[in-house]
Amino acid sequence: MSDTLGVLMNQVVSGPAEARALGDEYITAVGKIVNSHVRNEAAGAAIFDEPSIALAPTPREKWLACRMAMEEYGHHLKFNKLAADLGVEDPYARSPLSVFEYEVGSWTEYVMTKAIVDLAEVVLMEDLSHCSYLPLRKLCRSLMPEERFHVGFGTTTARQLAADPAKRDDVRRAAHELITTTLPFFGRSDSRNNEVFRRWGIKRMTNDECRAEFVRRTRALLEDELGLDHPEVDVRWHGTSS
Amino acid sequence: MARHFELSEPPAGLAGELGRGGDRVERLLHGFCEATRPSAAPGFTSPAPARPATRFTVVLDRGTAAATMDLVDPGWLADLDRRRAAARSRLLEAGREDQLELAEHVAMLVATPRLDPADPQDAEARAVSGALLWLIGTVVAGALAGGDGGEDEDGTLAELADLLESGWWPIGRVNGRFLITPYTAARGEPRD
Repeated sequence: MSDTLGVLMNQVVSGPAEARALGDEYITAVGKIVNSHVRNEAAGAAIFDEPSIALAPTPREKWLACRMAMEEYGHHLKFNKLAADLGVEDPYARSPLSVFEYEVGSWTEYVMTKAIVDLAEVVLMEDLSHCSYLPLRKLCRSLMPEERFHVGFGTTTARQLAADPAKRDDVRRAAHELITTTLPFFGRSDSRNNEVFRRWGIKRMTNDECRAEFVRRTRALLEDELGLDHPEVDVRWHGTSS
Repeated sequence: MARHFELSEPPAGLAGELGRGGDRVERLLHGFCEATRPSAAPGFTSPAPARPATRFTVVLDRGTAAATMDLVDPGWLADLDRRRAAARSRLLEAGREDQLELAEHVAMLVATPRLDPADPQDAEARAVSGALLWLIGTVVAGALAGGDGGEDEDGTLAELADLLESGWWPIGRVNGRFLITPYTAARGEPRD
C-alpha cells in the first residue's frame, strides 16, 4: 500500500451532507468514482451480459446469464442512486471504458469476461470497501458477493472449457485479449485523480497497485487454474484514454 | 416518465404510464409480489398456489424442479425468444420504446431482489431466479404488445403470465409434458 498524505485516512464521511461540508474537491472526487461505476455497470450489462443470454449452450446457463445481467443492471441503478443522492449525476458525460469495446461473439468469450473483467471490478471494489465515503463503502461491500459469484462462475466454467481440446485455444485467445484490454481499466500510472482519491481516503491503492493485483490474480487464474500461459503485460499504463 | 431506483412493488399509476397492455403488466407484477411475499411468521410459508389447468405437470420439490432445467426443450425456449423479439419489435415500431423500457425496468426492479438467493454462492438458486426473470421479461413485452399484433394469437405468453401471476414457475416443456412448480418450491422453501 502506498504512503499517502491522506486527510481522511481512517475517518468516515457518513453521507451527502457531511461530504458537501468537506468542499467541492471531495464531492467531485467521490462523484467521479461513482459515475464511473454508473457508466461501466450499465455498459457491462448492456454490452457483455444481455446479448450473451442468447449465446448460452444450455437452459441452465441461459438463465444464469440472465440473472447475472439483471444483477449488473441492479448495480448500475444502485450507483446511480448514490450519484443522485450526492447530486453528481453526469454518468454519461464520458464514454464507458475501452474494455467495453471488446465484442463478445461466443459463450466462451462471455465466460471469460466474467472471469477477467469482473475480476478487475472485484479488485476495485475491494479497495472501495474501505472508502471514506460511507455510502460508497457500504454499497461496494454489499455488491461484493454478487461480483465474486460472477468471477467464480467465470473461473469454474473457464476451467471446464479449457479442459475441452476443442475450446482450449478459444479460452486462451479470449483470456489474453481481455487481460490486455482490461489493463487501462485501472487508470493511468501518473493519474492526478488517483492522488486526490487517496488524499481523501476514497481509495487506498494507486492505479498501478490495483493493476498489479489484477495481473497477479489473472496469472493465478491462467497458469494455476487453466494451465495456460499469461500474456506479457506491463503494470504501468500511460495511455490517454481508459 | 417516472424514474425509479428501488421498488418493493409496482408504483402507483404504472398501468396508465405503460399505455395499452399496462393493466396486464401491473396485475402480473402485483400477483408476483403477493406470491413472493415473505412469510410474516418464521417457520410458516405461503400456501401453495391454486392448482391450474390439469394439462400441466406439477413438480413439488426444488431438487426435481432444478434437475429438469437441464432437460427443457430448446425448441420451447426458441419459440419464446421469437415471441419476445416480435413483441419488442412491434412496440418499437409503434413508438412505444419508453413504455417498453419502463415496463422492463419496473419488472426487474420489483422481481430481482425478491428472487435473491439466500446463499449468494448458490448457483442453482441463481439459475432458477434467472429463469423467472427471463420469463417475466418475456411476458411483460408480450402483454404490452398484446392486441397490437399476432405474435401471441394462441395465447402462449398470456398463459405464462397467468401462471407467473398466480405463483407458479413455468419450468417449461420437458419430454412432451409442461412442468410447473410453485415459487416456494423453486426457492427451496418448505410447503404448508
